[in-house]
Amino acid sequence: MISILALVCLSQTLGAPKAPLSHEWFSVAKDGMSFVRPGPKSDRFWSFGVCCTGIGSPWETTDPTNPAYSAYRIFPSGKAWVDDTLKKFSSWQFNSLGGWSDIDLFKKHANKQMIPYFVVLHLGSYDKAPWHDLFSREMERAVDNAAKTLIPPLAADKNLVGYFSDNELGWWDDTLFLTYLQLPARAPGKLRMVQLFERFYRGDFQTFQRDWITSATAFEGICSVSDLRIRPNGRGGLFLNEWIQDLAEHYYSLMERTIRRYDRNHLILGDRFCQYYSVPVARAMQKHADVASTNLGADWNDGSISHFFLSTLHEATGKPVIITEFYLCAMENRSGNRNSSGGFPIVQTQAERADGFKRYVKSVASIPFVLGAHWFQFTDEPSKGRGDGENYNMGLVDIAGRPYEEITKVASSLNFKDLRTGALISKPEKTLLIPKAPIDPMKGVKLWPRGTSFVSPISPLPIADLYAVHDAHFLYLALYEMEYMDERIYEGNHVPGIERSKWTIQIEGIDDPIEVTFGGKGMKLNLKANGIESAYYPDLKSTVILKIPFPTAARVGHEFILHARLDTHSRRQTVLWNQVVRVSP
Amino acid sequence: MIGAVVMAASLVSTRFSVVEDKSVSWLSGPKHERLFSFGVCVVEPGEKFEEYNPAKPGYSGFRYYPSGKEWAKSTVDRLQSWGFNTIGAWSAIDMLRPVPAESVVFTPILHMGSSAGAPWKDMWDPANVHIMEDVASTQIRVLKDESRILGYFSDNELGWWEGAVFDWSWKGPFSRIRLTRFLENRYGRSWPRLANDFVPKGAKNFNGLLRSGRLYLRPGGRGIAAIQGWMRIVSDRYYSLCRQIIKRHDPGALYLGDRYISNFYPEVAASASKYVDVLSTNLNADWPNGDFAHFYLPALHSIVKKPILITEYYACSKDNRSGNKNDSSGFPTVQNQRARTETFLNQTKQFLALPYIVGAHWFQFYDEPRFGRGDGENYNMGLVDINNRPYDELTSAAAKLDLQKLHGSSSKRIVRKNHKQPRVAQSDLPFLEKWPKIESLISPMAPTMRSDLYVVAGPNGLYLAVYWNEDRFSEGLYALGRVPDIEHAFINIQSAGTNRTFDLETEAGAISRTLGTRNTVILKFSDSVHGDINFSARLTTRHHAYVEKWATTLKVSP
Repeated sequence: MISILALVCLSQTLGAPKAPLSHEWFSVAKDGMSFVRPGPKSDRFWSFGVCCTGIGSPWETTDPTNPAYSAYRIFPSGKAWVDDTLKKFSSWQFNSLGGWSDIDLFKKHANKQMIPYFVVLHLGSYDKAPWHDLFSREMERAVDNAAKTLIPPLAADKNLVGYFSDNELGWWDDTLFLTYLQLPARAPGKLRMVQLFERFYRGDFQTFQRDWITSATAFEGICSVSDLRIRPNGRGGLFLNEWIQDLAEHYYSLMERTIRRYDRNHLILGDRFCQYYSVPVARAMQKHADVASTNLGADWNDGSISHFFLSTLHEATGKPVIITEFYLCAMENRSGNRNSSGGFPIVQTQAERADGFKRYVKSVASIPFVLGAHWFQFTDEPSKGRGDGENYNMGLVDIAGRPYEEITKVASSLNFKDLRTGALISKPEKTLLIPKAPIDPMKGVKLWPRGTSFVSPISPLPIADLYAVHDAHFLYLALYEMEYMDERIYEGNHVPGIERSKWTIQIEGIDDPIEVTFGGKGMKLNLKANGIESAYYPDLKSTVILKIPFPTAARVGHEFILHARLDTHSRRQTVLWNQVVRVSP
Repeated sequence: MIGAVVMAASLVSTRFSVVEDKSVSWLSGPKHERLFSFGVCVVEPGEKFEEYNPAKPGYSGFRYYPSGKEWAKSTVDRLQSWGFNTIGAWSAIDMLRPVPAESVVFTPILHMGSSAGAPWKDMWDPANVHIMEDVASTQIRVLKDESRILGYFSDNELGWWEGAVFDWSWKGPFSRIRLTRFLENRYGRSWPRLANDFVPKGAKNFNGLLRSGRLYLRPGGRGIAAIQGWMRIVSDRYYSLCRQIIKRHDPGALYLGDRYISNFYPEVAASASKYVDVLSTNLNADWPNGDFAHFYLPALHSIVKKPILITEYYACSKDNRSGNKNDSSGFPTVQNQRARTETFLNQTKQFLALPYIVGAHWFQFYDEPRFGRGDGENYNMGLVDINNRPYDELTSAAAKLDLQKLHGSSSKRIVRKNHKQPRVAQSDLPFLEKWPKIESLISPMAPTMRSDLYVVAGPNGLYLAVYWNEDRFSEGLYALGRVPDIEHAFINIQSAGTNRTFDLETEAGAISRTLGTRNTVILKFSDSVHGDINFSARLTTRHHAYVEKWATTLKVSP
């Protein structure tokens, strides 16, 4: 029998990583708007980088039946490739090497031409973090072993900007919770969870039972069971938020401690979120990283992105943000890429691709707290796909090394100085003038005027955008929201209606609130209102569109109040909107 | 304990085995009844694209083939068409394995001892043993399912130097204890007896020596015999560890020894004989025409009584297409490719003609880079030049060798009975490579372990040439840091009523002297120019380590 109360609280290192004070290393500018280069001049540095800048498929192992970029086919030597690549970068305005670039090769041949670079350490992945018990000694050892080998050779390098501890870790809150539930009774990660339960419910098991369905009959008993499920209409979701934040904080603190053991000077740059994060995980980074990082493909294939994603990441972490991957692929490409393995924005032509690229870079470069953006990647993927099947036209160059001039011309023409000087966070208008709807507004929000139709939320840390447009007879509202749910946290592996995500809208002039519930695998959207049409595009980032007959109060020129509220599943996150709007003539 | 290991190991069936047919040794395996392993070292693609420097050209597969796959296919095909059947050490096995070639075998090298500092560092220290195990198992694991692995070399050219091994043995906590106990036993626990042979520093008795201090050879003493005994123990430890580890991870593979550096210690080879399946030695020809000292292979075989694999041999030409200068060290170098081919054939045929040799591996696949490797070595060693063009004379000569026939008809070399000592012109006398070495060789009374002795008639007297091997780092055996005069190598000659002893390292009358690990001293010992002359010689190598004797009647015709 283990006395839970007697468990010693696992210590956490709470000191925030100190951005190096000296001018010897890359640092973050005081205003948080750029990096600062090492050296007495304190030059600002906005990182426009490229991931996987490398020689491609090596001669030794290349598969002749799957044509791929191979520098050796194009250049007489590694040095010639380095020289050429740096020349290309310089004319295309790329000023840094993103993750997984052939750093050693650059260092060997670039000499004084070497440009700043970033390194992905994959420290947690060495012991399958966060899936393996993050609190275990084995994890600590595996992470330390990896760091001990990887970091010392880099620690003195002035061209290194900093470290990403990992890439796209599986911060899938619900699923992680279920995984940690399965840990053996004495596993540190399980003990920690039980300890948190006890603290959250102040030692009162009856209160706990109001939120959780389980066979356990006391807190100690949770150690040896894995059958906890969220009880409908309770506060289980809030506990999950605390638990995942605690777990993530342990991860970030472990990364900080480990990296700092071998390198006191370079920046710690987060773990490259995979176009998704949950607010508690982002919060957990606050004290342990210098910069937050995320991979972020455009939300729409015109290269545009949601309003909430970067700003909430910035707000939750309290850190400037670097975008560590962004993409756009065209069906018309010279590498035979079919762009079919899933997950990346696709357009038809290289011209559209270049347009989207431009839109993306201009928009992120105009955000004050964004420190840079790294294009993924230098070359197209192999014609028949990489080892994992990914087969996209991702490249600045095709598999024969020929540049896609449409995109490289755009890169060369960007005026970063102006973009950064003009970078401002726009303040919401007092009254929002609802713009006209595009054709077929129910088909998706890509063609909506997402700048002018954007309704600013009033709550902090929103994880959704709300847009409003109209035509002669209808008001259209669109919700674009990000959440991840694993239905196995509910009894019967099925989300009960009351626990589903809920979007409530109140419009001045319409008596009853409009209530929409959604989420759950294969489940339809549920709309409680008459005469309203809906469209639902479920995804990690889901879109819900409502077509609402005009309320009388909403005649042209009249102001009215639009109030909305989103509660994600089990009320994990809430977003509120309260906006005075007016319909444009 | 040791016996048990050998017994247990010998019960395990191996994929390959050593067989004897009409007194001739062969390797035998799944696809081979009688295999003479004719191999090539360093079959790999050379400089990588990443490192290639056009200003310092070297062999680089990426420049000649569209992919590694094509290089591998072409290379295996070429080697087979040139008659080779073995991919030797330092080859890109991971690239070559996928090529379908059932009859090709591989002999990877593990570097398991050197990774742990063997044979210098303490091999009784579990940390070092762990490294050996780790290094070997990591490499063997990958190849475990490869049925074409003939066996593994544990190391290459280990530093079995008495001076170095003895010095380092005091530095390891476990080896110090073993060495002290060994000496204590050997000298009957008598410190004064030990002090007759050794000069102790920092210790006054055996107990003290367990903790600190060390011993130096006492000039004029017989301490070298104790050091030789210690070499047996150290080498026994090494070979037993290597065998155990290799067989534990791949019971089907042969243990192929550690590739001697064209030199061996009889004590070390004796230990090896207990553990290896096949003994290996690299063998740099002693003279540019590809001749070898007579004693070397027979002596090695008489000690180990196991088949021997020649793991490196070489021939280079001044005329070559890679721009190799061939001047960084001492590999046999001739003028042109035709002479090189002859040297190659001469060596290969000598190996094939010895019944206990089971294979010979040419060093190496390609020429070294024009301006040398990282360590400066810059020889025309290749079957192909740095642009992948074969040296056709050599490769077609290789292809024509009938290995089965040549090796099948081999027999132990019978040294000729002395008839007449040959005559050598005055101008050629100082150059042993110009002497007719078969005719001038003096048969020893018992097989020699370290030396050859040659006698020829010059225009005004009889000349002898001693060719013998010595230790490196032997100055470290003495407290003074140099070898004292009385510990030099000497030869005593009794001939035609004269009895003279020459200090081979300082003798002023020598007409030629080369000292190092391979030593040659040529001197005149008699004014006689004809007749039957009684002759006996006694060579004492440095520190009186080995004594070798000859006695014969020289026949010198006018």
